Amino acid sequence: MNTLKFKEKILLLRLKKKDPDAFAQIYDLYVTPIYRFIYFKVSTHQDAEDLTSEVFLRTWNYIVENDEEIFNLRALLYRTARNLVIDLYRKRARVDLVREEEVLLNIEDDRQQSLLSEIETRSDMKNIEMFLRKMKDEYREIIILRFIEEFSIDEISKILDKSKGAVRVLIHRALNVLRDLIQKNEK
Amino acid sequence: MKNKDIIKSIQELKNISPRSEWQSLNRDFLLQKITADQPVLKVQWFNYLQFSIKIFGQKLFEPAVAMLLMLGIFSGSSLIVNAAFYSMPGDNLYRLKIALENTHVAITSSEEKKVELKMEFAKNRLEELDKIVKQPDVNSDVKKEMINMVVKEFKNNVVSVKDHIEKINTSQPQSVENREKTLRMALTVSSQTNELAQSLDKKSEGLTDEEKINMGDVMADAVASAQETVLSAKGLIGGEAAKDSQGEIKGEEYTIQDNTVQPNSDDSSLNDSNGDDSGSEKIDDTESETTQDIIQ
Repeated sequence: MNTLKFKEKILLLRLKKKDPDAFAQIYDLYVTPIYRFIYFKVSTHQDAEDLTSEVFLRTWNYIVENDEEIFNLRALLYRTARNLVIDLYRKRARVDLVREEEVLLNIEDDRQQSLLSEIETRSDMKNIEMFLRKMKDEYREIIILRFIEEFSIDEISKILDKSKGAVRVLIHRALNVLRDLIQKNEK
Repeated sequence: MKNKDIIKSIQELKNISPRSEWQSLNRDFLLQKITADQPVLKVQWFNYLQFSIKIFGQKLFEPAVAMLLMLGIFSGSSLIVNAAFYSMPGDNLYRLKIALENTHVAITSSEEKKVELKMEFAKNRLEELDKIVKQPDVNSDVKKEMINMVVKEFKNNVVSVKDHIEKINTSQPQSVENREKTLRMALTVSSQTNELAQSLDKKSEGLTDEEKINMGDVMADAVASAQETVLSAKGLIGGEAAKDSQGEIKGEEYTIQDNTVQPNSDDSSLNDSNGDDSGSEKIDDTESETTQDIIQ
């Protein structure tokens, strides 16, 4: 067991006892990677910040209210983040269907956002982020988990609730798609 | 662009991080929220103990750890058994060696096999005696104690061989095949015990005069026990041969000689000769021929 995992276990033990210091330590340890993970899934910094905050609050509530044993805190945080992003998209889609007028506004807003985002990425960030954003969410997610957050195949399979084989295939396909995107752009 | 280059540029995205002011403000906000309505419980020492036990348990059942543990136990026990095998009287593991030998005998079901094992162990005792006698830098008291122990164990072995033979002798009538086996075994025991008795005598020659005086009685006692075992074996041979001569075995293939079938007066005298070198040689005169002659 590596030091981080051991530290995580100790923090979990303290978290069960509603220790705010333990929560603060977990926050300091994971706020950046969770934010980054969400940031690539949503289009704005604002959404990323709101969802990141919500992830920590939900995780706290889940740990102190449930007796269920948690084996991997990191995986739990990412799973919560993933579910919150899905919830956000679902909520937006529902609202879009009910209020047609707002749909148009939203589309406009989304277009503006993506345009702004594109300008932002072109000016400030590396091209690779732009290509990542053009990819299917499933592929983008696996690339972030594997190569940015450096999760093991086993951990990814737990977060995504997929088999290890399926995770390997997904990584392979995602890399191929990304390479194709880059090559098309170079041409 | 190769996958390696793509991965490298993806990893550069690690630089993306939230605004630091938001990070600290959000931290305070969350801490305020979680501590608002919930009392803090202190983590007790037994919580840490439970946690340690759980972690230890999880580690223990990890395949690699479990394999290593099993390997450790297996190789550790093999090393101890191996060390015990080469131990000498006075060593800590010598008792273990004797216990292992006794266990080996206890788990053997066949009486014949038990006798074979006991004979083997008696031989081991003589080899140990040989080594002890050859040890140069050992205090005579220690040597005496070691010899005493080895000879005592030797005597135990030959006495139990005798007991086993008597047990076979008094057991139920056997089939033709079993009787043949018993006869073979009895002959082997008779011959080998005789050799052991001789060997014991020879080995005692390596002792100093003082040691000979000290150990004389013990040695003589062991030789006498060996000779008693020879006699028992011969008695068994006699009994089996008598049954054969009464025509119980059809298609008889044995050629029985008088001097081996009946324990003769020379053999009886051996029993009384405690420690006399000539005694064991007399037995050998008859035995060397009989072993090969009786069973074709």
